[in-house]
Amino acid sequence: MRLLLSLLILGTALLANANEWQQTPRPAWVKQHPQPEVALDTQQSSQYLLSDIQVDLSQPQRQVYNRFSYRVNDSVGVEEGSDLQISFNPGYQQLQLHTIELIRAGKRLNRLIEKDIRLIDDEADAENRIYTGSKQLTLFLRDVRPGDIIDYSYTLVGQNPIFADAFSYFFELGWGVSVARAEISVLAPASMPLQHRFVNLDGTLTSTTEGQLQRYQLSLRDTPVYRDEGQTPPWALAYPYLQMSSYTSWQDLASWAAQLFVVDSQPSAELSRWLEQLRQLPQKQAIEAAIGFAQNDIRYLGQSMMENSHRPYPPSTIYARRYGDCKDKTMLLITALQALGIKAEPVLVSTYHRHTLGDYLPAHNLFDHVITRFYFADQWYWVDPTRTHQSNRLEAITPAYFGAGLIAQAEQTAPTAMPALQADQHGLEMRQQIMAADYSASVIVQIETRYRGREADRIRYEVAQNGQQRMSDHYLDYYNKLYPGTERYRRAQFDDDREHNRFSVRETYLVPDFWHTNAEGMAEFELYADLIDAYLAPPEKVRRNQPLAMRAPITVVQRSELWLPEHVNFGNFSPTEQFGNDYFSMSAQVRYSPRKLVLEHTYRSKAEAVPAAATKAHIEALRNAREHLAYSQSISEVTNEPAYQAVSSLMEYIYSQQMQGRP
Amino acid sequence: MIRLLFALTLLLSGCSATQHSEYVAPAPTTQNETPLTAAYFDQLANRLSGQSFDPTPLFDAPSMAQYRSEIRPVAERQPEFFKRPWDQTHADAITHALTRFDSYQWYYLYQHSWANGRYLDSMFRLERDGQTNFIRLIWSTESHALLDMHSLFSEFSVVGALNEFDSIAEQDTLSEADRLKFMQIMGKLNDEKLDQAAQDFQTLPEQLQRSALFADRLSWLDLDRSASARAMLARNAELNPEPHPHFYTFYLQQQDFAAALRCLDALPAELHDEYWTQMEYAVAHYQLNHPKQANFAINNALLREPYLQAPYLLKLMIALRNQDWEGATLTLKVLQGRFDANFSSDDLKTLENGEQLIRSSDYLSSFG
Repeated sequence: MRLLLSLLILGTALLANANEWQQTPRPAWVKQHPQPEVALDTQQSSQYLLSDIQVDLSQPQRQVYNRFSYRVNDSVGVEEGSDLQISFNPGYQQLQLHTIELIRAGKRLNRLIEKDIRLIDDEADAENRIYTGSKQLTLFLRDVRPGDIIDYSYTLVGQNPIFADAFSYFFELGWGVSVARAEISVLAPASMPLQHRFVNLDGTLTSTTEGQLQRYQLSLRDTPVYRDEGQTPPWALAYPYLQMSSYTSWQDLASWAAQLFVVDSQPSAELSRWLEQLRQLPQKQAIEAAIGFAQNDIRYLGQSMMENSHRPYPPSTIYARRYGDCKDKTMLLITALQALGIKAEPVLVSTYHRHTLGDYLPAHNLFDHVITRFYFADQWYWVDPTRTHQSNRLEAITPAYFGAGLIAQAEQTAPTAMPALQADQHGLEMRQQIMAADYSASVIVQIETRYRGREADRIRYEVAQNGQQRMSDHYLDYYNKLYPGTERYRRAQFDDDREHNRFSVRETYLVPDFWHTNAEGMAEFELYADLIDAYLAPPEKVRRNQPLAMRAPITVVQRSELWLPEHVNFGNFSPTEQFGNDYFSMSAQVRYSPRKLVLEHTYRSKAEAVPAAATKAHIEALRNAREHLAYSQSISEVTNEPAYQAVSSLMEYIYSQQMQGRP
Repeated sequence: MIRLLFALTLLLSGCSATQHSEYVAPAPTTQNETPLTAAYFDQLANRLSGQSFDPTPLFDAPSMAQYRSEIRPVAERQPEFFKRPWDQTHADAITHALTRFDSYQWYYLYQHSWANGRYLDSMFRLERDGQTNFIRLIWSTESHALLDMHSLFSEFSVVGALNEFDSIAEQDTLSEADRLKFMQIMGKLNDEKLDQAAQDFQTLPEQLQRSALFADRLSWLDLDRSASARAMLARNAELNPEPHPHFYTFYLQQQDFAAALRCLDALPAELHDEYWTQMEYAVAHYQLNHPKQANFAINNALLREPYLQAPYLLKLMIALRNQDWEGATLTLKVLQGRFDANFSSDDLKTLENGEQLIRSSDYLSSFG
């Protein structure tokens, strides 16, 4: 009886698996490509022989066939290449496994062994609280040895119904390793013309008619090795692609997007009450309340299953659940704004392609985010309802900026450029006051950092995430790296002016070794613009073929004020020095006013990225600017004062008293 | 203008032998700093500390008119200020106010903007002969024009005071005789006819006796020398129980140190760490027999002004009251080394807890 029950359970599991994946022969429509002969290269841990992707759009259910074949040459290759992972979404896709084999000494060894297969959740965006229902089939190949060729193929059947019959695909054409043979083939009904575009590659796609079908085909041999140089702007793709799309125009795509946000249900009583409450407020206040609610009271969580990968839930559901992702938050915000008589619309944006959207074919998979645009008081506002911790005043909310976006309205014929953020509106200003009571004892360093615009949003979020205590500890650690032995003199203060979107942090430290007395009895000191330093850091890879991303737009001011114990004659200082190029500027100035020596730097970004061709000169400009971050000086005859040691002892004693805090 | 009222240290100041060297402002640099930046205000502080500063190039009539209209709408006031054009009055008043701080050393402290960034305050500390003031200069961020000037020890800025004066002169709810009397009292205060002013002040209606213009004006006077001035301030303070820095000297003079402390608290928080403020806190706490708080404040003051003798003397007295022999001994060593101020055992015995100090191991190891 117990055995029977076990068998029943096992049978149920196999049945469940069978609904998600099956072992089937290779589909008849697939063209078989021979595996190329590749000479052994022991310099490489693995050699990729074949990448074959074939799509059939003529079937009742879309089919995407994949076959990969590679040789593992050594233990590293075995380590890295012996675990197969195939992702799919069982909500609308079925995985058909055809072959999983090892080829050893010319013999094919089957490795498609059912009990070696595991099906696990594959929520790649779970850390961002996005859940799609995707699964990952994993197979840990048994008995793989150096010299084996791993050869496997499978077909994904089905497509998310939200896209209906539309087809939109980015085929990879280059990788971090060379591939001996790469094949791409798309079979489509003649009634479904496809557009294509190559990205980062001059390629040719052949098109042949096969009865009622059209076959698009691309074949590559010995693909070059591509490298991502890092620190590239998100829109600069490091690898080549073939983009194919069935959308005939941006308008076609915008129409599809627009219908996603059509609400066909009546608002719930609860939602209606909220909308009515908003209507009772003055209009600007109501807009601010609606934005604040969408941003802060709807927690970010995406249940992006099936159609809800792109279609928002009804506003009443979002309001009741108090959670949602970007499209849900936008849906609710638009509902509220429209209830207030405000023209409001969703805007599809890409956090990757940003302003380069127009360089691509219209395609639904260009986009990964939705924001809200609305018109109020003769002005368009662009708001990202997924951003929390923004200002609570309309005029101070940092506008959403993604370069360009497609407004989800049927009449839209192209992506719309978004107003760029200005560097002088976003940044931080750090004032460091170094209070020196003599020329040998510790100094008090008071640091006030004022953040504004986007930087205020960022620090507000960071403080909320980590808590003030952890942030304070982090700051103390930082200054200890800069000035060993630094102690906290006063508790850090965090002040949030949300109305004007400003945030300030005040820290006070006791720094022991600011002064160094040299053999001639001179007190030496150095001021260093450590904050500016972070913006002038050269990239890790300096010889570049790819553009370099900038932290932009931003203006950063660092002012270090050394308050001396008495007036010191430093003589004259050079005028302000200017550095930079088309992508950044930096000014450096040393000045003196009574007892106060000031080292001031201002850094301003001028662009979001440096083109590849300009990176060499840019890095040189950074290096040049970096040479002017420090100012050092010495003050003579300080040890001659009779009270030199007595003052130092008293000051250290006073510090020890003050460290105990205000009584 | 606030004097450092530090009677206790004056008792000991005979020991003082050296002076903190005076700073001589350098010639203004030829570099034109970007307006309203910290560098600009540092440069301005140097210029203001020099001789005969002319603010005229900093004025801009349209910006000043706009600023005035925000303080008080144009429709609510006469087109002229006592038959003088407002533009001229406004500019002259600031120029005149600045001349009162000739020969002061100006130190730029900080800035912040307000009214959605349309205006900017730049704060300065002014010093001369032991006197300190905090002055706020108000600027248009659009035209970079100087609009107003405000001593933090006054309720009203220069333009605010003009406006207040003007609005009282035009206030229909007051009798013409009272309004006239108010103007006359102000005239007498300017002429330092304090006894006459005080007589008239008594007959003013409460509404006018309460005017902050009185406290602003009277707080500049030497209250020790005029019972009339003290009487007027006492009445004004009675009618205005909220603490304000313009009552600070009055409460000190009255030896009401708790009220004086509340007036210090009313200064902007950014000024609480200033030497002058900490010194005053230290004195007030000492007088109120809050030796721990006094020590905290005097330590702060010393860290900011280590070349003045007065804070060391007060530190010594506070350390003695706290029976902090180490602190007292270390302070005595600095007084000796830096200021050549030597205290004999007999001198020390005259001070509170002085006898205990000279018997302490800390003292004996250094001076025994």
